[in-house]
Amino acid sequence: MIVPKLIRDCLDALLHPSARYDALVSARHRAFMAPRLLGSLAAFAAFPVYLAMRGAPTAIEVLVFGWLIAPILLSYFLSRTGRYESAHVLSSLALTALVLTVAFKTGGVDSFIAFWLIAIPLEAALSASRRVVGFASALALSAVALLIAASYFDVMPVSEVTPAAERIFMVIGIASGVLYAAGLAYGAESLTRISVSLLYVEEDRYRLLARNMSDVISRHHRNGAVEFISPAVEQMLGVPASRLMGHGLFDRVHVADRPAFLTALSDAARSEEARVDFRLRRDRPRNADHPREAVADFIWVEMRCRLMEQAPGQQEMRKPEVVAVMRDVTDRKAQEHDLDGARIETERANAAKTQFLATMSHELRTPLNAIIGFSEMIVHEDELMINAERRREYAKLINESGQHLLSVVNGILDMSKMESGKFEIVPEPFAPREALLSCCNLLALKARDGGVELVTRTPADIPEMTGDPRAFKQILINLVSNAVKFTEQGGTVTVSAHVEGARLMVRVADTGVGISADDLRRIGDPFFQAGKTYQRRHEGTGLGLSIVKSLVALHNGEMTVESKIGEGTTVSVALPLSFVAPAEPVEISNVRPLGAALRSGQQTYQVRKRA
Amino acid sequence: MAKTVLIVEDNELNMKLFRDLLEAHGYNTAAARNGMEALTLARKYRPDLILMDIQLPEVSGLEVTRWIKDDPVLHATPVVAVTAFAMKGDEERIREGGCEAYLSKPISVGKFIETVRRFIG
Repeated sequence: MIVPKLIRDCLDALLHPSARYDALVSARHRAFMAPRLLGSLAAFAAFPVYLAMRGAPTAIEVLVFGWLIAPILLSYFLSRTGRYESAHVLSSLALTALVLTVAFKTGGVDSFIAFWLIAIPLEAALSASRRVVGFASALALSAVALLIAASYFDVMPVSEVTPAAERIFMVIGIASGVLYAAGLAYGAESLTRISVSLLYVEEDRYRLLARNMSDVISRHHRNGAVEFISPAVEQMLGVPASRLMGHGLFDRVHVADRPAFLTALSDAARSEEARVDFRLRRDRPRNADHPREAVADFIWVEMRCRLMEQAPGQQEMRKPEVVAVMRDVTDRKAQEHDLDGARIETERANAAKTQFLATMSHELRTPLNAIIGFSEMIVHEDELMINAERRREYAKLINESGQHLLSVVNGILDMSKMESGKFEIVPEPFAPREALLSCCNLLALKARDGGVELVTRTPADIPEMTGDPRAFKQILINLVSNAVKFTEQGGTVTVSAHVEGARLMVRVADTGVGISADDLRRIGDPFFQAGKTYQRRHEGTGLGLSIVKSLVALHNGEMTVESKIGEGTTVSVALPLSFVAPAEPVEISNVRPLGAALRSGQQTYQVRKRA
Repeated sequence: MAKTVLIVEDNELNMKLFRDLLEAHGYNTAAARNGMEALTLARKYRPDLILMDIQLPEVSGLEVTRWIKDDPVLHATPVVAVTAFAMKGDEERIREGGCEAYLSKPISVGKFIETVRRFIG
């Protein structure tokens, strides 16, 4: 095994640099040089032996042996220049010249050497070049024709070879010819083997790619029709590639994304690279829950496409085709969507904060205006001719405004306490019915002033409950005064209570202005009052419901708001009869629409507090 | 002849403050509690100046100002916004809405009267 390896290493050292990196080309170069170098060297080695056996050589013998240098020169030529086809042509020319010369001297077409002309095209066959084979065949045929013509026109010199020598030459010629043919056959076989194994390597490489690549490669007609799609698509869409040919893929593109899909392909067909994201319908494997139907859903796909490079010489016969690479980007899209959601939520929170500040500033400035204004008037009482009675009146107004200001400040403090979890609930037993009735009595006057009927419906058998009675009263006062405030003259506010399981249900229903669906989502946000900012219909801090919401949550209860614009609002509060502190910090503004619970055109939203 | 000022203000205490202040300085006053009333009274009394609260029930003071500025008879009447909206950008927004001047609550009595005088002497 050492000798072939040595030979191989020598040959590799002789390879022209341009042939070193392509396995097939270097195999061809080796196949060209190996037999020539080995043959020539063997012949040189044999020359002394031949001379010893034959004595002084004839001119032809010298010529033949001299010619054996030619293959070495040819190998050298190839080694230096890397011009494989030229080396083959030169080789054919050298062999032809040798055969012709010897044949002329040894009897023309009848010569023992004439059959060597067969070797010329055979040798050229190894070149894998049609031009070289054509040239070599023409050369061999011309040589044959030349020899035949020479013997026909009798211009052939008389053979110098004796019949005895001719027999020896015949033997040597045939033996060397067979050896040469064997060399050629061996070279041809090894070239074929190398190219086949190279094919396998290539195929393995592609198979590896195809098996491990989740991207789908497809070829499209410019109108989008699929002409080829790689089998990876089955993994992606759950359907075999064959069902996506033609318009099969297009049919799976989401209707809304179809224009973008087609535009990308036609852009690519005009030789612009295009990139498009679209949704594709995927068939989920049938599962136990849905044995009959394949469940379909959409995945996001990113497709990059460009005009397909065409093989040279084929331009005129092919229509432009587009090659596309598709990749499943559903996860990325989902992340982008989540980010968007988070961004919108942050913006909303910021807007709410700004709104909160603006409203707080407004609510503080309104009573301050009266306080500062009236007190300033008293300061200038002489100029303004303010008498004692007026002064007393102003003092009363300043006091009133101060009280209002105090209630706003207290509301804000309560709110912030509750938001930071510092509002303390002091549970004790109390009678909810009495508390409810006393709250309603407090507000009866306000209701009468506004022309609103205040109705209470509370069964006498409501049991005692534990909880914070101050908080309970605060809840009721806020809810009822809200209801009265937002109800027009002639309307009704109904306060009812009953026990349901282990909870006390309190409902405050009005026939007031109602709340739009959009505003309903934000009801209970601090300072939020339904309607546009500058267009507030009713006085108030907008803190009432927000405080109720938090107090209810602190009692482990639940608050629900139902409303319809122009027809009224119902706030329901459910409180446990025996107080249990919430297990986790109370979360404010956890409002969720109840899309499914639409009652005959009435939109219902629910404000749920987490326990 | 005494000039007339129309006060558009939904808060009773503030209404009383502006009324008393203006009357003490010799102006006649008319009082409107909402936008519709403001327009009706403005047409009825043709006031020399309108003091406009911006946050009003039903229709905002900005909207009412727009109506007044679009009215062929009333459009020349100066409108002074008196509002508790005193956040950044509120003054610009209110001036863009067509108000000739802007006073933020709480008012300073001196500045208030000075502003009124600037428009109607």
